[in-house]
Amino acid sequence: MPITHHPPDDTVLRYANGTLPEAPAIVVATHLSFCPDCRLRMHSYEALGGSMLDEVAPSKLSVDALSSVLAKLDGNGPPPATQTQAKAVTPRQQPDLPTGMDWPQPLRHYDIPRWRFVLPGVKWTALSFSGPEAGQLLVVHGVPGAKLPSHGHDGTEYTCVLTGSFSDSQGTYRVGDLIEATEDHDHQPIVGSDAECVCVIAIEGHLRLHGLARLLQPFLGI
Amino acid sequence: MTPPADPSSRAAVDCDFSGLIVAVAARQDRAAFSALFEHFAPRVKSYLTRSGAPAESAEELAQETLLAVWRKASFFDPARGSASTWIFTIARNLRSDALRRERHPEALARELDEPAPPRPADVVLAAAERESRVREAMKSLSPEQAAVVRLSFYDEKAHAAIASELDLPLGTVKSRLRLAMNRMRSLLGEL
Repeated sequence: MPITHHPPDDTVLRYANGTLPEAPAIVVATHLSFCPDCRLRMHSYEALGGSMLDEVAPSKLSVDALSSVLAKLDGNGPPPATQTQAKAVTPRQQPDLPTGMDWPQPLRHYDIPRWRFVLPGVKWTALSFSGPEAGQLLVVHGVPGAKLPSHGHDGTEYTCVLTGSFSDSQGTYRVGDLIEATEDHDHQPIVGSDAECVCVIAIEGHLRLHGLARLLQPFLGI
Repeated sequence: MTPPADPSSRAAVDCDFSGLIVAVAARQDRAAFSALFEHFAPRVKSYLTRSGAPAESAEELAQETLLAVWRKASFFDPARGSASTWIFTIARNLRSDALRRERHPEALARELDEPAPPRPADVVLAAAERESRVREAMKSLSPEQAAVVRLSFYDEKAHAAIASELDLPLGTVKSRLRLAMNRMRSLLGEL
């Protein structure tokens, strides 16, 4: 099944110029790991950054800038590529995923807390980052047909489907799809009936849970 | 902001910079490194300053960027993009690190430290093609459109900051940016 939902240009641009906050950047990186077209778009924006570097007027550096950097090069030669590539990845604490599924590459370097049960058939885990401006990251797991908590947001919500599918009033979303839901988009996602679904979701600002789930919000780690 | 008169001379210059990075990787060539530093460090500082970094940390990050160019030179692959683009991505990542005040997740280092995978000829062509099309596309935008693309590239609080800098209503900035991005997209075509 081809990927049908992609991030808008503006979001890819903010990812490419490094101004997208950390939590949404992880969700966009996850989408990029599925989507060659958006990777090319991202590389074009990086090339745009390169062209900006070409055209910007140079600033004056302190007089000893070059000599102090040259002094730091002593005994600091370029390491042979093979040594650097062999750098080991520290194993992280991460909860189990459905059989046969791995954590997507952008999340492999994070400790991820254990699952918390939210509603029947729905569990999630929340990652926090330094500084509120980084946003919040949730990984949500639903069994087939599960109804996720109905909610709205103060800021934009970025969702990428890792496995399975879900639907809301605006469409059906499958593996690799990235959905950007703006402030006015109140929705109740429902997991597809054929398979369990795992999504990674970043929220700028606050999530507003509706109904019963709202009472549980203080206990859900968000 | 002064585009060179002849685009082919720019390509030649960039080729030279790529060659300098390759020289640093191959034989720790300090003269090549100095030439790279003299050209790029002042420009990286300008980019960082325009992106909102205070002058002192912009200078510090510009120096760190060039140090990283020295250390990572062996990962640079001229076929995957220009020297400017590669150095831009290093500066960007260091800037995000600094903003987040913690180690940038390695996963988001976006292929910088990954060994270059074997490349089919069409991919190599695509990278060079992308570099030149991006530059052509920027030149073909109207001055107003190019201005919003530049500003949206540099500013953290994109739309609102652009609106106040250009003294335009927010809606005008948003529609101008959308038009410029659509135009960029159609000029870049399928890459």
